[in-house]
Amino acid sequence: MNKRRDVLREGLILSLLIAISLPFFGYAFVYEAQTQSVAQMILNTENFYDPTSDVSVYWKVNGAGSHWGAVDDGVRNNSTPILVDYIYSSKQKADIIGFPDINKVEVSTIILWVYSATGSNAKTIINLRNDNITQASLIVNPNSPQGWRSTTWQNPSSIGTITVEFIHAKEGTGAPTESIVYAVYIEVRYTV
Amino acid sequence: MSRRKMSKKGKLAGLLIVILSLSLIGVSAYIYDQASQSVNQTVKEVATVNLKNSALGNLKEGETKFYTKSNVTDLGDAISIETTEVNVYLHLNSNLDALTAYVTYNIVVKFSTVPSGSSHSVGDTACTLSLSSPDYNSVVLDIAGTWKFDFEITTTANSVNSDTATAVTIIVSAESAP
Repeated sequence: MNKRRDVLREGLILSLLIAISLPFFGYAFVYEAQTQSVAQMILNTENFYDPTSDVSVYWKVNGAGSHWGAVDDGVRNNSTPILVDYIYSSKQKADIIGFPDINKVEVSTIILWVYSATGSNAKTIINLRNDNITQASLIVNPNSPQGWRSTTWQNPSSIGTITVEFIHAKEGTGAPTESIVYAVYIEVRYTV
Repeated sequence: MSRRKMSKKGKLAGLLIVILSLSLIGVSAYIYDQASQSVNQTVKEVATVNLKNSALGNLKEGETKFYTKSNVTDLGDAISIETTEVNVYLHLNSNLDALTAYVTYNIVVKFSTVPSGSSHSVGDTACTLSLSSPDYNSVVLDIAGTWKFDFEITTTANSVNSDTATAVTIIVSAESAP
């Protein structure tokens, strides 16, 4: 009986302690929370454009159904493009691919980037054209290894339809070797 | 018989005490609710917070800029707090970790006004918020009085496909507990 009383007394004391201590659980209270903001505008200063159409198709294509589709890898000059699809030629003809419209004002620079290679007597002339007028050219000399190369059109005054022309030329003797283009894109920079 | 009676009486007494204990807990829960309301009102006197919003302007993609109150006025005294008690805890929680348009976004929070007697000094760094550490718990305001903080901000923008507006939101709260 005494043991039971002790247990009951302890239970009663515990209940009282819980009842007394409960109100104190609310003390870690946030006094005041306010919000502030820091605003900023990030200005777009460059865009990349990949080819989207075939204009003249006199080269051969490997690994793709269209010429532009063989070179629109979407890879930039810090990476190796896909090497299984490409356009190539050993004949002195021109291939031309088209690009989407550049709907931007205040363009400061348009850079044509090409990942290409040439055989021992193959030379490739690559022209960046605006409304069929060449604005910048890139010459890839014979026996050039695979790699990114570029040519720049500075301060374009009026931008219309952009196309890129690939011309193969034989330079030197022997059986003709090939000009090969794996990837092409243009980089457009703006003044802001 | 008497043993049985005694046992029944004992059980009845035990049951009554258990019921009494449960009713005490019920009453105490009710008291707790009321008590916590009155505590809220008391703690509300601990501090008054005033904040400034800032507009940093434009940043080109890839560009890095450093902003202080000398080139963006609102970064000076960006946080002002009046405390009425010692050891008020200042918490800063931001959404910096949600920003994807930046390579770097550091907000250095510096003491610009400190009550006399504090262990802090004007110009000391209170904390730094960044893309990887967007929150800080907590700056201890050890003396009652006026506290102000400047922001110094370094931002480096990623590449974006079009002009992109960004806003960092900082929730500043003062608590009586860490």
